[in-house]
Amino acid sequence: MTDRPEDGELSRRQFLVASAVSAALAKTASAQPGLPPIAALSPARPIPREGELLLHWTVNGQPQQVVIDPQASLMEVLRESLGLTSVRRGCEDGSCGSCTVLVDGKRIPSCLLWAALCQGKAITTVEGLSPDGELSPIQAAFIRHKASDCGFCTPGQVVAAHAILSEPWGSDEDSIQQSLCGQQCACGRRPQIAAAIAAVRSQRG
Amino acid sequence: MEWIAAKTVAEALAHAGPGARYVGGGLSLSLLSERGVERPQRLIDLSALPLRSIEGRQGELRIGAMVRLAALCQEPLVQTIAPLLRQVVAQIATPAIRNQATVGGELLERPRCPLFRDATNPRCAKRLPGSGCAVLEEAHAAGAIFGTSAACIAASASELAVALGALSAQVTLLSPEGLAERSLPILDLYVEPGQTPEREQALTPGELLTSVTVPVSSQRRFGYARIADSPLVPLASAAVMMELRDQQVVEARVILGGLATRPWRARACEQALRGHRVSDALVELAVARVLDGAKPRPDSRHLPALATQVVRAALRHAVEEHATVRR
Repeated sequence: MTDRPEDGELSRRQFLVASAVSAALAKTASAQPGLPPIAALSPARPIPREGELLLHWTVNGQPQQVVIDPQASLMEVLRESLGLTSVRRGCEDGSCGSCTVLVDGKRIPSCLLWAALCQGKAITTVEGLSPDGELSPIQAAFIRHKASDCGFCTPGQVVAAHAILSEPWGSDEDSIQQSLCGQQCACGRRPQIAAAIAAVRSQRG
Repeated sequence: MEWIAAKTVAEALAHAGPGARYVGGGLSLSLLSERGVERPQRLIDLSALPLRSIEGRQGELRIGAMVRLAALCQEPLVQTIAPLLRQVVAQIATPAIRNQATVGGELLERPRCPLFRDATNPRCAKRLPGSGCAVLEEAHAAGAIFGTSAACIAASASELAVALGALSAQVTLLSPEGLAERSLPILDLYVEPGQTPEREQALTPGELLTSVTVPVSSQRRFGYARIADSPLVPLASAAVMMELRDQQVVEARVILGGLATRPWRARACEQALRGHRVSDALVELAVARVLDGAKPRPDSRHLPALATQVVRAALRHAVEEHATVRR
């Protein structure tokens, strides 16, 4: 192996530590009503060092600023800077779907998407589908249809299923199978996942 | 690594140079960079550029290079004017990838040769000029059977190019040198590896692919077929076009994907079709010429059969379409 990817890891970790701090502050501020806004808590807004980027975006409805390495994937920033570990590190080549998130409402494999391409975008992970703790219809359908087994791929499956419901697919079995192309479940729960999607779709008419 | 969010096409071109790469959807480039196969020093983000429209003009369909594959699939104009394009694009990669992948990025997708994509393999002339080819020397993988050289047998990856080749599309390229624009037939964009496998396209340094233009003709019939064992990439595919006057084939195009070092015109097959009355027998005569010029190796023994299968299926689709339209 060449040494470059390792160098990349190191510099990425260093930046992750710095940006995790500002993310943690943001979490505290938003979780406790009455506290001063984030800008008043942190000494200054996050300042990117040379070679870093300042990203303004919305994650699960929360406007945020985060400093990123331009080489970081969206998956890495969500998991490691923002602690959203529902975004799984799976195949890392875009074929398994366990890192699927919504970017401006569209599902994308976050492992292959440079976070730098998400400037100004609205990111939604599975946490964002039930902001008030109420299960969304597709989440409830996943439980009802036992569409989860070990659970590893489930967050990505739920996000993908949520997106599929707003995409122009037919309602037949074949269309649902095609829509799930790129969403793998090693436990073999694909039929139950398809059934959950079909159930919500038929409820909506 | 430097990130440039270009605001205009001129700004994007001005940042081109050694070590710089344009970023469309960025999916493949991020994967290859993470693996150390690509080592860009500067990334030029094209997201904000006005290259995202699909326009129907007199007799043609113009598609911006930054149009996402999902948007291309869902555009009613594409379904009306070039249904073949919709059919092919709807099968590229996965639905989630198509939300981000762009027309330009798909056309310039790098080969999926596993040993090209493995930075720990020291023998790949595509990555390291002059280093040889681990596939040829150790017979790990199938590789291409058309257009190969002693230096490289990696199959080209773009499926969009296979469809656009059958559609006789043109690509428009913009050069940083005086912002000069040129157009060329899509298939001329791709070059065979020869002794310089590091070069896959006929792009000049810094040249930016800005759009694709598809001519429209009511006399043309199309067909497409593919054989795949994973959603990400077909093993073999074929897109064909037959232009018919009465029942005579006056022009034909047979383009193979997955089996050649560039989107491959099966010219002998096309020649067998031209000037003849369309029939099932004619399809078989043409299929018999698909393998003219093929150079299979022991590891690619299975590919010739796939080539004939996809061409036969694609030609039959085109003949059926012709029969349906005549009814």
